[in-house]
Amino acid sequence: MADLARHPDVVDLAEYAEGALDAARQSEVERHVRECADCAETVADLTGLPETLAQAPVPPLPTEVAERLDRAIAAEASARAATPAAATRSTVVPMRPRRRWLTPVLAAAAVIGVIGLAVPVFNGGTGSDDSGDSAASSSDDSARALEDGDAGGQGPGAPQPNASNDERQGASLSSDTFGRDVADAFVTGKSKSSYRLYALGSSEDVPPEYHHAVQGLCPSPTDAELSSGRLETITLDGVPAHLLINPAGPSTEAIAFTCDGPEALILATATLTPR
Amino acid sequence: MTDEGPDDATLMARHVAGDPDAFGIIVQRHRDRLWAVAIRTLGDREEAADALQDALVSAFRRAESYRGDAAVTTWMHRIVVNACLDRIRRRKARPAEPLPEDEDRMEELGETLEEDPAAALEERSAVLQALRTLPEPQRAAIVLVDMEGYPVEEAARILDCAVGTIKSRCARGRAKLLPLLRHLRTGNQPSGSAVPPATVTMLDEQRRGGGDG
Repeated sequence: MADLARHPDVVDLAEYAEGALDAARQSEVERHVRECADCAETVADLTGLPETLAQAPVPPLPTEVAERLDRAIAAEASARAATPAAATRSTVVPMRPRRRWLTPVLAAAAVIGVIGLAVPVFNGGTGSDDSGDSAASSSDDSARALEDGDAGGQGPGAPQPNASNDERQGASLSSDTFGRDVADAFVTGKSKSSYRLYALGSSEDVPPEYHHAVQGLCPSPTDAELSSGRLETITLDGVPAHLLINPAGPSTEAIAFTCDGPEALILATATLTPR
Repeated sequence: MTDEGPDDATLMARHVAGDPDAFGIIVQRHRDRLWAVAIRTLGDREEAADALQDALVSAFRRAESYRGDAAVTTWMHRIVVNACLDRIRRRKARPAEPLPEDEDRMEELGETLEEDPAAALEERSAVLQALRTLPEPQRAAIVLVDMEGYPVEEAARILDCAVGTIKSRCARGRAKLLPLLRHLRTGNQPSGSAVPPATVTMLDEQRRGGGDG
């Protein structure tokens, strides 16, 4: 005789109905349901629920949306056709980052100082295609972790000398010396840097707090209201970009990203610490 | 719906090889179903349209990443579902007050809805409202399995997780939806079982507390 006083909860009943319980629990719940009219009814309702859901009418694809999709795809096709190395190029076009945020860490991101580089919308069909390619090729393949070591100049490759020459276009940073360039151009008194570059389209391994930090900045970072830090206009490997700086805290975090529509695509991150 | 012509995988290969029309044909074939997934997952026409467009553009560009180990439709569903889930997460993470561009969007949406009041009502339907209360992994599983009728194995491929995980998500999602939707249930309703949702909730609470009155 099943224990009628101890009803399985509705989740148990739902998992029982789906056959998702382990064998022992499955037969335990089954014994109960056989004896208990209430629970049997709940199981029946749960079993009927998919039908109710499937019958819920869905608004058909609106004509204007269908046309919009056609236009977007046609635009992609002609943009691709206009690019000589079509097949090669499409492997480095920035894709939407597939984010897997582990836990919400907005608070952490707010505490961490953040520098962001935001390359304006990529698929505008202007010269940004070429510059996007160069940015992509410099951070090719898997993400590379680089250590600048001392930023005094002993590292391979000299810092970009023109870091803050052009007020209008902003500092020119290179992905080869990203961390040191950021330190030289924007962060005084913080000279030790480490940085990572990410392959375009595969920001899977970007720490989630970086995603959160740049969230909501795209598609137009200059218009976004910053909770902390400041925004600079720069170029990274010749690509127009924005730089969000927050030097608070013992170290400064840096995030380089492009905007793919409303999505931020992270290109590089840097951590700058005092010597 | 184009039932003739090359199959999806062939069209995909042509697309990767540079055929400018191949991808559009694939989209024409499947867009209604992809739209249904998007609107059911997001519960909002404008957002669903944006998510679908983002996803299709993304799929266009990264066609090389399609390896042929899953059906083209599975692959495209995965991209659409992920685009929808990304949107939900972004929406959650955003500050409560809408940005100016969002206000514009609300106006656009208002105009759209005015043109089509039936669709507007639909969006506010009990089912879509109830779905929005689910955590997104459960919502995605319910949309694919219960609403779109995909086998759990296919949903597992789309969502890139184990079959058991899909079953569990569906079960938990149904458990949450039941009190919200029980009143909608039509057909094969056992006689005398018209329990108002509030009563169901109370019963459930009693059960959880272990006190069966």
